[in-house]
Amino acid sequence: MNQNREMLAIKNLHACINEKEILKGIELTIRPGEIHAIMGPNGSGKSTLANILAGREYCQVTQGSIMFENQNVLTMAPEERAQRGIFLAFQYPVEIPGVNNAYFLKAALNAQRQSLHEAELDAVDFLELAKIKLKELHMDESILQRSVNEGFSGGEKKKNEILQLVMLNPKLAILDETDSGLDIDALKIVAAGINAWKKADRSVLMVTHYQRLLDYITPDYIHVLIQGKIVKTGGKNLALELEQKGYGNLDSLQLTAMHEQRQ
Amino acid sequence: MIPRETQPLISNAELEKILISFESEDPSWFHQIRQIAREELKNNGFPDFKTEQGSYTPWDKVLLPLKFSGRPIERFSANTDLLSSLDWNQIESVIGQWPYRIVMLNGQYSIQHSILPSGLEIESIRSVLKNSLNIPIQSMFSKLNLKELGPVLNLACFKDGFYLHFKSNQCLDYPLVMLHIATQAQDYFSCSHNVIVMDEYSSGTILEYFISGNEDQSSLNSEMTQIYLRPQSQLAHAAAYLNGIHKNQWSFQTVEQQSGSSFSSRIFILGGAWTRHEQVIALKQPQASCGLEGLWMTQDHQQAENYTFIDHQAPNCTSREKFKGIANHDSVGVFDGCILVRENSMKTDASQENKNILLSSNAQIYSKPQLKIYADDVKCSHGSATGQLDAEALFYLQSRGIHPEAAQQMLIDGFSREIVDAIPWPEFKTSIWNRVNQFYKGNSK
Repeated sequence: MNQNREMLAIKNLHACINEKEILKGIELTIRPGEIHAIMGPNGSGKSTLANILAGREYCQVTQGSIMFENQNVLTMAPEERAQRGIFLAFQYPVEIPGVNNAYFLKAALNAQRQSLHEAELDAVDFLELAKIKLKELHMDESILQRSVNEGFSGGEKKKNEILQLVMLNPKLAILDETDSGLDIDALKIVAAGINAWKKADRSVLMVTHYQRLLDYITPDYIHVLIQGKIVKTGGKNLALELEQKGYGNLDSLQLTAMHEQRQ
Repeated sequence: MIPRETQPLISNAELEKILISFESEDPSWFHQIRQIAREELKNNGFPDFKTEQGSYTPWDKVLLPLKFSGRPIERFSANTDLLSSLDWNQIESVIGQWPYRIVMLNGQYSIQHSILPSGLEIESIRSVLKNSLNIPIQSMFSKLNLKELGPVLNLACFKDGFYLHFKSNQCLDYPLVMLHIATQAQDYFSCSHNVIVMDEYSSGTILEYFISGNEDQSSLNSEMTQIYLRPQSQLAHAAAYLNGIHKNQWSFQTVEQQSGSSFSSRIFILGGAWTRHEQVIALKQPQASCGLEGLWMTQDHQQAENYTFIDHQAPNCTSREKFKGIANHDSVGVFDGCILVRENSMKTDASQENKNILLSSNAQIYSKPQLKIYADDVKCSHGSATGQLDAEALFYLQSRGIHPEAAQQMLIDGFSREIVDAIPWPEFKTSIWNRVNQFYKGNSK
């Protein structure tokens, strides 16, 4: 296993939304097999980072670089990023009336297979695969015949994201507050699904407010993002520390750091 | 009033020529009605700037084929070469195979191509008009409102069409397919007029397909159908406009509903240069109900127009309306729907919904919902929304590896599904789905 190979390398990333700078020099490296968590207070730029990785247009990158398996991500269209193995589990999955969930999943899977020059799955093979994955996630098969996310409960929406994750089997899964809106039982199922999917060479970047998700998916690294910068990186115990002391303590840490920088 | 253009689209001399070319031997009672229509046409000319209903239409293009109406189109029924050159395999690959069909060739009823169910009374409208014993047909024509250009032009010019009569309790086992084929190597104008009468407790389905090639000549077909639904009768009607890119089609439908009758209509405009479908529905007696649905898609310089007028004249009637449209490139879509609830029409239950999507910044959509309510104790609702495809949904699909063009098509299919999936006839549904799926393929600008 090549543990030194970088899967994702973010260097000095600056990004704006409507000319307001949200990210102010992010440095982050994720190697194959690693689980990273990004925590931080509201408005610190966590979701912005997740969305930039997926190619959302409203975030404008002004400086820095993002490399995924030594390829420049910033010049890739969203679908190309997905085809190469970057997957964003949305904080707010989009409802798409009239588009059948199975049809959508099959189209996504086959778009990916096509890009890898693999044969497309036919309806029978697809359904077989989907049924296995649904069972693993304790999900009802009827979800395949509904319109994508339409009328889904909060828990169903998040589970549907994880269903897509395990079906598409990406290299890097970015989980944008996947724990929000889930009750404890659903959270356990979702976490078990992610853990079952995650093999040695698959990586995870979790964006979360709370320690809760980290109880079920153990991170190798925790980064604290405040005002667009990673101010602290630590092991899994950092989350417990944050839970006790809050981000306030780190706020002042960062202010000191900025102060020192200016001098 | 908008001032008349100094140079009329069709001069009086040209109009005279047109009318002469459509001269036919009418029985005297009908001759009088024809004359009223012709006078109206002469007095008001083209186009009908006077009515608001004409304001979105490119009349110069639409009416151009009228100038060629001096050319004889009768030769079609005599031209056996052309008839035998019709490729039925190809036609059936578009519309599917059906046991019964009425074929209209360039606006003329073609007996030799039609396969009729036994027991159903069907005749050429010309012979029905000549039968002076048929009193109801006289009153049907004399009550027509000859104020709008659509029916006026049709009545002034039509030579043929069909008369279809469902007798009491008669129920058709399969849909009756009406196939309108336009095939001509030169510009032309054709005009037909049909009457459908459904007696008490009869029921039937009529599926219309309008098909033509993409040949370079433009044409205009005016088709008017009067429908009479007697008590407790049921008619399900659907029309698929799948015309070629130079065809202008103007359909005008009047429906009179008596007590407990039901009328359902599904209009699909998925082709043609300009297609206008007008429906005037009169709910004349209690417990009558109608449901109108429609889906149109346009691109390039196409134009699709849906006009509906639902007249609630009696209490306890129900009407439902749902029209959806998508316009791409420089195309234009129109929805103009009016619901009139008259003074004594208590317990009316009416709803209207119109949703449209613009795929390009040059496309235009005009949506004009109107409710005119003069009765108390009624339930009426309407909604109209026009916008772009949901950018969030597009991004969501792309973020799963789906190409933007495929993502757009998925959203278009999703938008259309509500109307298409509700089609109860599998073959008809398949032909509509095929058309919807292919409509914008290889045509992104």
